[in-house]
Amino acid sequence: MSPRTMVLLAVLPLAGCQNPTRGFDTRTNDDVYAVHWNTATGREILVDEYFTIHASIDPEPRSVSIDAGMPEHRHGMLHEPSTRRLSHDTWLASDMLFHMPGRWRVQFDITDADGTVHRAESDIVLE
Amino acid sequence: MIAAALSLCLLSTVVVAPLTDREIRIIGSMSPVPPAPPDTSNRVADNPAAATLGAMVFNRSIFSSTGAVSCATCHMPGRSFTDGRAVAQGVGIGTRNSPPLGSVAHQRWFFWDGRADSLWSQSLVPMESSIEMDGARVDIVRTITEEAELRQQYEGVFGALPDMTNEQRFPQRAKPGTAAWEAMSEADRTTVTRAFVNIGKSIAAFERTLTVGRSPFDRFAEALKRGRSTDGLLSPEAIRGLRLFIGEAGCRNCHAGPLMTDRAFHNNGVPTADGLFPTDPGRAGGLELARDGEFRLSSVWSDDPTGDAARRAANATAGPEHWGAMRTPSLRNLPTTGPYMHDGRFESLSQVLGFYNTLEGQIRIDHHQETVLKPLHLPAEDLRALEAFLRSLQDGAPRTDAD
Amino acid sequence: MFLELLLSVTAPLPAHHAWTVDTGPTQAVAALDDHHIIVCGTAGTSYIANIGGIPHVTHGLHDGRVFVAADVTPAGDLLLLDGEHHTVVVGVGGLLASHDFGSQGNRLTQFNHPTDIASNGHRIAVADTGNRRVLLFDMAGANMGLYDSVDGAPLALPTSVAMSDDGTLFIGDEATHKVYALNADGSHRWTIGGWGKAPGRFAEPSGLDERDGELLVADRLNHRIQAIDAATGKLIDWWGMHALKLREGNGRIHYPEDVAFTSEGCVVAEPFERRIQGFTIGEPDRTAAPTQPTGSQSHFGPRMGLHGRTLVVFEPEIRAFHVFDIDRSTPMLLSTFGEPGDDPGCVQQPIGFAFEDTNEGLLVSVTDAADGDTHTWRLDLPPVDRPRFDVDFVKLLRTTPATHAAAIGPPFKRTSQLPDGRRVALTQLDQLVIGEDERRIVFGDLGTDHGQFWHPTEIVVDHNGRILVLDHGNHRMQFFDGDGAWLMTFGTGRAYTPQNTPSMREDAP
Repeated sequence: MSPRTMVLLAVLPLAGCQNPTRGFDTRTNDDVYAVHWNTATGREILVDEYFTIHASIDPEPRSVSIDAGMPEHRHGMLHEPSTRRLSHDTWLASDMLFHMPGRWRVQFDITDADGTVHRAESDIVLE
Repeated sequence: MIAAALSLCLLSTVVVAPLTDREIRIIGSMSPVPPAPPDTSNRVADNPAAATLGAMVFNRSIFSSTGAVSCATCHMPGRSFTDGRAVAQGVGIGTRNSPPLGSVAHQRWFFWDGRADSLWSQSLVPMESSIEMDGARVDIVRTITEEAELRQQYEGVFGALPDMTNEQRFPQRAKPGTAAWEAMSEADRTTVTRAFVNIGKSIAAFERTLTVGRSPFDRFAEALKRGRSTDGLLSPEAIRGLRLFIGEAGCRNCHAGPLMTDRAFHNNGVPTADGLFPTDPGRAGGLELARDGEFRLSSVWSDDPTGDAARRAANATAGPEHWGAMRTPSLRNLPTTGPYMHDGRFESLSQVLGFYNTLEGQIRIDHHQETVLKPLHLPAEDLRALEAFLRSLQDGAPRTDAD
Repeated sequence: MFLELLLSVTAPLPAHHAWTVDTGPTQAVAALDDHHIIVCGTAGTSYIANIGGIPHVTHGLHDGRVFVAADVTPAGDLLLLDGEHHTVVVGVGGLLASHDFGSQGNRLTQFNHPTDIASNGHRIAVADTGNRRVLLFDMAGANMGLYDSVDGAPLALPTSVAMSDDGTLFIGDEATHKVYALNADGSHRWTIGGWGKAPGRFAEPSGLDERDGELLVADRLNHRIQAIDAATGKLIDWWGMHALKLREGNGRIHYPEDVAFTSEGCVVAEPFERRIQGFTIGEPDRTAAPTQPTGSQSHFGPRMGLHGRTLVVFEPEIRAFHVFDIDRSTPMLLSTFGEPGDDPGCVQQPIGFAFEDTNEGLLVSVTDAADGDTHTWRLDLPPVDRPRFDVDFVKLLRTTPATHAAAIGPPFKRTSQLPDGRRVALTQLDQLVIGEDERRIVFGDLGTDHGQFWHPTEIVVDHNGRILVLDHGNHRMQFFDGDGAWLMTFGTGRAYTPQNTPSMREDAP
């Protein structure tokens, strides 16, 4: 084990196991839009800890709504997330909270210029 | 004889599979209980002098209409800050169990139905509730002005109290909803309410100092994290129970994190005392009250009405499944916080586990309702193991040589 | 505080079951006077009857009309809504029709499939469902206004109205699942509900009546009556726990369509059960329904779609669709999709299934009558030799808004064709007819046994020549061959065939 690895291993527990993520890529189920998203801090999502989603949509849509739920439990989050547009193709959804461990599905409802809504999904399993 | 002894040794040796990496990670996430998060809605949340005032108010029964009920009546310091009753008994008899206050500062919503969105606003409700302390804010504030020790402590934190000697301006028993309160001027009502809120914030400052201590489970989890031996820190039965808790029994789905609560609301269908359809709306009613609450986080009485916590509380939702749902309680210090459930209907942990094991008598809002909660159908030895683990969450247990 | 509000209302509540009468399919009830009620049946079977006991028809109401709703003013004027001819029939001072007004259309004195009527003797309100609005008239039929939205939100499927003496108007909407109150001047007073099972929420509120400050709501898919304080919109109480078995009566309510106050309490119309039940004033029966085994309960219907071996059938009580593979010894549930709400992928009233084999895969599109939106999903079903259930087999692709949102969907699919060209149809009497002329096969009495039906809604013929009957009232599907032989019945978790079950009479789902 290299000294650098040993240092990393020693530091990580003190950092509270918040590992960085490279973000997530998904497409709408009809393959029209591409979505790249990450937590605004770049850190992993933890059970019962608020986080913010930063999402880029391509091509540029008319509007985006971001929400999440647990497919097996058939319930959503405890809050309405606050979604706002940052630029022509980026959105921010704050007050995201996954309050239970298990499989969560982040859903992006992307509205095009004609008013048709396209659905993209990303599954996150929290231990 | 040697063969018999050997056989006995073999029989008494329990071969236990080592903890998996996943189990170790999850156990690590369940301990220790971190420091209380900041509360920007209460500017004296971490003010020691305010906490001292709060403790004085918490333990004094002079604020109740009968002079016999204080916060400590239902939240007894020597009893994990609960009262050992099924339902609370103050001036009157309530309908819900008194929640314990250990590490209560970590909660996001208060009361079983989450009708209060801050610790300080929660403390004000029992003071004026007719079945709890049956006080009135005008009398409560006046009492502070008249008791030298309380007055000195209050003014040391918040500045001068109003002069409330004029009982025409500040009538007895005046609180919102009374004719006496309506007869007061707007300015006087504001003055009294501001002082009343300060008292609540002081109580919250005191309650923020109430933290759960280390338990045998915490010592086990810490040893695990540090790669030390865990021998003797938890019994094999408790370890078995812990593994069931985070695994097959699925308890952790709702009782996650260091406090073993997801801080959300669930309807587990626990049967009512009379066996009839439940009438307590739980979270569905609580959210309505929270949204309209006089002291909600976004109100003028909050010290951070536009902050993150206020915004999140304002955006809270309660779906159709929240009717009858209650706040997931923390499992810390469980052995001393019974009876259990929102109406205290289970006297023992074995009764609680028995209910989850069979779901016998479970009431559903509608009999077509699907539920994530499934009966566990665990054998008796597994239920004992779960109980052994839950008992290991009690703080104040004797220290071992491993410490 | 909330509990105190709930318990402080002391108005007496009708809740004690008094009588049950078999009436055939009824659509609406109204109190005529202290001793009589009006029962609106179907196909001209409306009549006046005594309250309680065996209905004694004292006066038939038909003359070619199909009355879907009725109301009586404080002065005793009778108002009947003819759903077939889209008209209001007014009988002033008695039962003789003094005048009528209305025709089909969308102008201010026209209706499109109206479903309910209410009056306080000065104004008449009509739930003009097909036009998604409520119209107001004076007693002569002159239009006084319309409501197509409440508090900024559009009405979707208003199907019930009630009016208090002071002119307060109450509207029940089966797609938003809410009940609204409007003051006589049109201002919004309160809104209660939204989809849900809990007290204070509704699932297709279908009937309203108001008396002395109390509003009763027939909460159809929750199988209960809810009482609301008319002034504040606060829930007072509820009763009528869902029947545990079909056809169970004695105060257990099943798909109530309408409710009306009577001198004794109230009366509830249950067209599904072909009966009306009377209740007297008393303490509600709050016995909790015994717990059912865990697992979903299916109600199958009222609409379905079939493509090859893939059957998609609506499950109304959870607002979802079940996907079955029917080319097996017993049909297998592969997936469930959809949920309540108004987000993309949420359907309130499906009125059409369309399948399409594309490069993307098998697509199914469903149009929602509530707003006209069309939702399209892709079915990524497992290989035939490795079937299993997974919610992820179905993915929502898109939701397309309507350019013209028709509130009333196409009729149920009650005809089909066998591979040999013979016609198959469900008759008005809900019997199955195969073929025509002297070689015609007719069967399907009212009942629960195999080969019997209870309010079947749709039929379809599969690629194997089997006739599938969506036996909605029995919460099941039935399969027959082209000669009418019974092949299979399947319901929640069970399937019966001639090989394993001689009869289902004692074992209905």
